[in-house]
Amino acid sequence: MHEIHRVLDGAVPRCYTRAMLRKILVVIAVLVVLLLGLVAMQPNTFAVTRSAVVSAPPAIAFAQVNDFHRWAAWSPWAQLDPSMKTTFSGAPAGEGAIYDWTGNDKVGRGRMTILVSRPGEAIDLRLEFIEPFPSTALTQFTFAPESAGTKVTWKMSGDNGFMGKAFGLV
Amino acid sequence: MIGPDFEKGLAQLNVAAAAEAKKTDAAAAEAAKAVGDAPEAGAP
Repeated sequence: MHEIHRVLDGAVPRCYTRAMLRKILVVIAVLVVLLLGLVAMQPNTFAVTRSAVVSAPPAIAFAQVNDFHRWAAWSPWAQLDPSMKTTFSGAPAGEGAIYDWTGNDKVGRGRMTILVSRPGEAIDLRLEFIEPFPSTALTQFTFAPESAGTKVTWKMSGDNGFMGKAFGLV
Repeated sequence: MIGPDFEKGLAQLNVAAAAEAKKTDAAAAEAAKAVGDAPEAGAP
């Protein structure tokens, strides 16, 4: 009798454990599939546009963006990693100027290249992220005179890869 | 560099550009003053 109880005491919980484990795995698998589906349903492209009026004439506002050497004074990325390493190459400013950066996990590694520079009007940049995951975006700055100074519009657009879509959900 | 804080960047661009504009204005005023102080041609 004791022997039977001992067998049952050991067998029943083991059965429950396996069944519970199977249920947990099924729930996790369903959640993963749902999450992947949700990520896949995100838009294939993204675009972010912000504008502000700067208290300076268009030529001066333009000059702060057209020369990568001046970005340290205003770029929000520079403050994310004060020890970020930057390299300037290509043209000293304007079309053909190149800015490479390497920093902590907040800024990663990448390169910016000025593609188009229309003095006092607009600047187009190619933004290449290399780490933490590769992606490319187009960044455009436009400068329009306003009574109080210059209306600066900053637009970033590009393709949304899987990681971009996943980050979009966060 | 997942995505910049656009608002913060534009606010800091405003500060940098305004400071540069002030410097340019001060330099222009200085140059105008120097021209005004210079003796006229032919003056003894």
